[in-house]
Amino acid sequence: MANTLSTYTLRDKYMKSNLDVALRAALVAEKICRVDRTDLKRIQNPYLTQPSATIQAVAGTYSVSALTTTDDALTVADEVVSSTHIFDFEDVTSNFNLFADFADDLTYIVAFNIDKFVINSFTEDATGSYTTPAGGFTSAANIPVIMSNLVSKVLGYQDATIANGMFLVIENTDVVGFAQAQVASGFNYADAALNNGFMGNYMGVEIYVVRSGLFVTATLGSRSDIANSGHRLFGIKGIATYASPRGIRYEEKYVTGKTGKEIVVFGYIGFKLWAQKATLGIDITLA
Amino acid sequence: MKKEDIIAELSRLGIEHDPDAKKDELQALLPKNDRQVRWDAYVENYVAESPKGKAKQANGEFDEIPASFV
Repeated sequence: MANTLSTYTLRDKYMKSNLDVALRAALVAEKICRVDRTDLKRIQNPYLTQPSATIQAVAGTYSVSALTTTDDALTVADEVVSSTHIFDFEDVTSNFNLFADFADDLTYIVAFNIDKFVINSFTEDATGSYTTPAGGFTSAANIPVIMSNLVSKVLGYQDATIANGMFLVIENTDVVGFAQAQVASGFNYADAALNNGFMGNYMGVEIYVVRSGLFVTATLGSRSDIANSGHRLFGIKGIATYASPRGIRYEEKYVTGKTGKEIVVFGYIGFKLWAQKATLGIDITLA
Repeated sequence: MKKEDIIAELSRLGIEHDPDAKKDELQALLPKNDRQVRWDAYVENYVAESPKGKAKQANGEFDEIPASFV
């Protein structure tokens, strides 16, 4: 017959020295955009309209044309904010460093929302377009067709940005077709995929997987023109810039009427897909 | 929402309707909730302002409210 032991007679241990957190989605924006964290409001990038030239039999004569420049600018016009309050009695009696743990999680969610803003702005502003065959990325047979079509849309330029490489942003539900295509096509490549799992590179394109639901149709800050549900993004790295002056910042403050401190984490954000490169961003419509 | 569900809802709300009418016509009789009203306004603005608006509408992308729209 077992003895009767009270709750605190038995030994507990903690898994970690900090609070566990919800699963965090991958952040992609920094990998596909240029990033500027200086204290700026705007980045100016005026561009020149492409001139024309005449091929003609030798005559020594020509006509003079006027060239035009157009302004193009990134403006930091949005901010992402997340905050909470930790009462003193919570801080004093907790097993954990609540300020550190809460700040860490708030920082992540601010970073995630900056990422969401950038990816959706990029997709919306991309002027290249492609509609997948029925089934989209979930059908293995579609993958070579889709990828070859996407790649063909951005090759053939001598622009230096092409050397940055190509990227594709898909949601995790799209991995199904990719994974099947990877293990079934080629020899070394298929063996590598079978041995190592999902490959982050296909036909020279770096594949970034985000969680389902990142591509949205919704108002994001000052942008009420986002309609990306059922869309994905392909393009050349570095053709867009996002600015986040001073990055993500953190403040702790005493507030009247409450013990403890309020924590606020925030970041400013501006995005621009530069006009002269906008066609190198492909807004993919899933069929 | 199925046609029979729409008819049942119209009957429950006491809204006069022709059961033989097309589904779209019956649906138009239903009172719109806040989300539907905001969605209609969002789509109207997007189609008017975005260069991609008309193509996406023709593609049927706005026929249903996506989960991401709150």
